[in-house]
Amino acid sequence: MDQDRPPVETGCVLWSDGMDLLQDAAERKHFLPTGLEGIDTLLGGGLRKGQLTELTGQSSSGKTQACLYSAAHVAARHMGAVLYLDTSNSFSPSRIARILDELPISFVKEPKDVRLKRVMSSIICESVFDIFALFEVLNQLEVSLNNKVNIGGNKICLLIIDSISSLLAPIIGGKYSQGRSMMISVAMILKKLADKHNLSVLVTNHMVAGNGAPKPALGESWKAVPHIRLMISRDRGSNICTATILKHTLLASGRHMKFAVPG
Amino acid sequence: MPKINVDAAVSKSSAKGAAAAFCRSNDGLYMGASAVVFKGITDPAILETLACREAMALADDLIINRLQVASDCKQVITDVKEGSLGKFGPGPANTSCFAVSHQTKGSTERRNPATARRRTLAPRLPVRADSQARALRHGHAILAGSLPPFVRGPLPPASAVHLRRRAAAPSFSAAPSRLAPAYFGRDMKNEIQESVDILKAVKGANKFKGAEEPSCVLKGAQNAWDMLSEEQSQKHISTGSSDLNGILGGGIHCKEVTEIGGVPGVGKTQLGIQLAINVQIPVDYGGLGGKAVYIDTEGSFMVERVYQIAEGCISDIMEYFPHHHHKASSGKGNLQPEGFLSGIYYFRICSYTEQIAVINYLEKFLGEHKDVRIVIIDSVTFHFRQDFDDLALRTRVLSGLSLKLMKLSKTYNLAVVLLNQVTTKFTEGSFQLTLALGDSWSHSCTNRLILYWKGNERCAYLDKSPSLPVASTPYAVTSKGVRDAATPNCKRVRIM
Repeated sequence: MDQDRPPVETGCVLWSDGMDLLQDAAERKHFLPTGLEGIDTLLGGGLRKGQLTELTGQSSSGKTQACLYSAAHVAARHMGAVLYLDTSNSFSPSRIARILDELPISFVKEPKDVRLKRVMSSIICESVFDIFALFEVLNQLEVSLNNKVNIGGNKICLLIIDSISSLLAPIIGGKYSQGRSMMISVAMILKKLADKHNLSVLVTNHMVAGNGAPKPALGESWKAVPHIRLMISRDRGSNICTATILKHTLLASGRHMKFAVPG
Repeated sequence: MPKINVDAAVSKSSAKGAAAAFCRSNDGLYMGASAVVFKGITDPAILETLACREAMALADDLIINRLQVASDCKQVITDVKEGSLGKFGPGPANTSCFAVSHQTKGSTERRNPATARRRTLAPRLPVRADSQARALRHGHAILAGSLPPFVRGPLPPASAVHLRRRAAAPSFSAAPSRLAPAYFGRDMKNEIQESVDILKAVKGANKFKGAEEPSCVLKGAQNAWDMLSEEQSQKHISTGSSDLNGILGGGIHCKEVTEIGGVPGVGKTQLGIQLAINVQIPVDYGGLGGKAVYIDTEGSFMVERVYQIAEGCISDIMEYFPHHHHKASSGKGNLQPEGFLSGIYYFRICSYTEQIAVINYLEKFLGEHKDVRIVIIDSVTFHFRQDFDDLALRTRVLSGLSLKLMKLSKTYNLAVVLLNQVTTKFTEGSFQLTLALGDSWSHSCTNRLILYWKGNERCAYLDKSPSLPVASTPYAVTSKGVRDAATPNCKRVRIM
């Protein structure tokens, strides 16, 4: 029986040392710009590849806008393709077109309409309305990434899920724990994709009323999942938003910065 | 060349045998699996041969012309090599299957005749949808460790069950192709039928065939460029007031969920009825020519008022298209208030159970009535504000409902309009009016429009929209319905 057993190393990943990691971080873990100056400054350049970033905030605080901006900027700066998973029918191509229109023309001097078509073709969007559909989409994505499928020559570098909390909210809570275990499965899959394929993952979460101040939804076990958690709030009646770091793997939390979302 | 591993198993307790085939591509990717249970056949050699036949059927299903079949039964291999018909050879019942196995096993390369019928990868035995879903849930946990990553499912792969299996059968992970149902059944103490269901479900779950279509990342996903041109060709549903249409970007958008909230008497229901009428303006007159579903929870849908608004709508159409009217006089029959009234499907809801039931039923209803372009729920709040004690449960139910409505609006290309009541909320030292149903619900719409009084004037405020800036405008409710607020220079009322 023992000789049938495969050698123990086959199932095990290779180890790497600190220098390898440092080199990997410098060479591959780029920052993807969100295009919103406040957030980029706050995070030292933008969304990091290989990491899971969460945006949380009240309704209409600017979370979806930040997602649309990131998608547009990453695609426009030739950094790669973007996959946008939309759960609340809020992916607005016309808004993205307007964001692109405001951008200065790049050095290559490609005409605006050419750029618009190029950028818009490298953003793909899929609607997801329940947790099982999300699993299926993520599994498909993993297969595609394993097969090195790309979109018009671009590798996918940013995965946006807006919003993950609306998929998870109907299943967690109550006396059954399946919902919670599905939530953790989602977290595992997302982190694996981020790590193995050098993706940056951006998810949005909503806020619930806590004791006193509102707090991010999905509870304590989800809190451990994102590498970076950023809270966005907006002054009522204006387009000035404030981003606050709630959790960060490198930087001190609690710092905040104001930025404007152009109308 | 794809490889199909086959195996058979015999049940210890009953006179049953099972045969299974499992196909993987060159680079080891899972392509399909198939399993079948035979009652009364317990001879291992026969079952192994039947497994070979199953492999051929699977190859047909997967449209594979050249393949390798691997069996671990020496007798079958020898029989095939020697061309003998085995110990039951003379028996007529088995001749055909042995012949098939002979034909294929003898030459590892096989070509389908050019006229071969194309078969899809659908399960060969009908599996009921519910058992499939159940099997998916159970099955993922069991198969997690042994199948390629993309068939892994919701449950964490390192479940206790899986660990036990791995400890008990080390060869299992080395040879994942041996997925005979009975093998499952024996180890996992599952029913054989259930094991078959699991295999079928796994097969169904992999229909997307990521490996075969290297050109697209996600089947069904659209890129933003196509969506942009699609969006630009969409028509919007007019609210009756051109100012209001202005801040909404042309009117209420299809494929989006719009929430409209406000204090009692500000005109929420009026706007709801107006939309139910305006969606029916014929295409010739610049409308959508659709129908409306009106779900009434408060009993505020007054049919006399609806008649009045329909008349107002028709008289405005006549005013703006006088020539059109003469030309299209044959279509005049459509433009009667009665016609507009019969184009509204009305549901009266008396409890939250009914409300949940209707929203679940809508999927079927809309499948049968494809011309519905708007669903109005007036109001979504009413029953959920009373007789609901467990607030956490209410949040879960409501977020589930909102996802269903999102899905409906996207699938059937229609607008969903939810009317909501207001409540007071204590924030920053003062009481302020906010929409009811709490913070979590406020995330569950795409757009939000708040109606309020400013002195004696009715105003609308676009509070949330992914594509449009925040804005507000006055509007009026007249005897004809929702219209622009009268301005000193008497701006003419426009519909379109």
